[in-house]
Amino acid sequence: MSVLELGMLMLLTMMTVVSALMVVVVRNLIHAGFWLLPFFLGIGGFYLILSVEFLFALQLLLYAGAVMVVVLFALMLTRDVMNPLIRQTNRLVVAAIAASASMMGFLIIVIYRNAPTLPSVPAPVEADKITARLGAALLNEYVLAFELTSALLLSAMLGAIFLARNPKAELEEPEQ
Amino acid sequence: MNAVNVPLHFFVLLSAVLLAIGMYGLISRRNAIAVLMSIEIVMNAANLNFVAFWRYLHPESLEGVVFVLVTITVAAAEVAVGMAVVLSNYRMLHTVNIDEVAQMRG
Repeated sequence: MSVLELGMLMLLTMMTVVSALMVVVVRNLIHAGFWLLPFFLGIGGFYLILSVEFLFALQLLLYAGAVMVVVLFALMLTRDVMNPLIRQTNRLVVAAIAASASMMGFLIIVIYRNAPTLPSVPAPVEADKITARLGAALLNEYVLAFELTSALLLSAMLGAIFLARNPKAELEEPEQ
Repeated sequence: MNAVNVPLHFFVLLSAVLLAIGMYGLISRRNAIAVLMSIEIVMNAANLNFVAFWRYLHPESLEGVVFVLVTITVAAAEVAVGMAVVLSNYRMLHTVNIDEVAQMRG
């Protein structure tokens, strides 16, 4: 691995970790929503490093596109998210820091102990054929998962419309 | 892109860190939308783990990638339904802070 590659990797890691940290600690929630964007892009960059370009495209379209827009819309439709006087953390901050830090410490210890058993080089694969294989596999071996996913999306869409509509406004409409 | 030789435990460590960050947000945030954003971080960490293990251990089958595809779709559905719940909650109770939504507390 050359110095340039190592530098790019460190940059990508820093971007991902720092923006994830900003999402959970920033006080202004609109800023937190925008910090999601470099986080999703960073994860997409790791998909590129792992040579799954299709997932990179999906990450950009679905997370950096759709999820970001929905989150920002929901933030803007609710009140007081930009008010700096409103407390954004609950009573459990200390417990949350303790829980997540101890879990991270535990996981890091476990991973370091087992690092020699993990492969250090990716398994050989024809990187430019992965997307074609994925397309074939989705409509052959994994067609049930594929169809179930589409059914889930449809029911989630109907459920979201049902939950988000305003029943009062609907009742008032005939009087106009 | 086969030239990048990052060891597998780098990806596993990275997703452990991201999981811890997401968990901190999940516990400490008051705003329901911020909690959903933290769930997105946790899900992305899990996805990264799936793809990394698939790429390093079994790239001949495609389970890892298909799993991530399904997870991303479920996350999108979850965000849509979650935001609808938050908005209808906001309309009825005029708050999105989950510690103030205590109607079912005994």
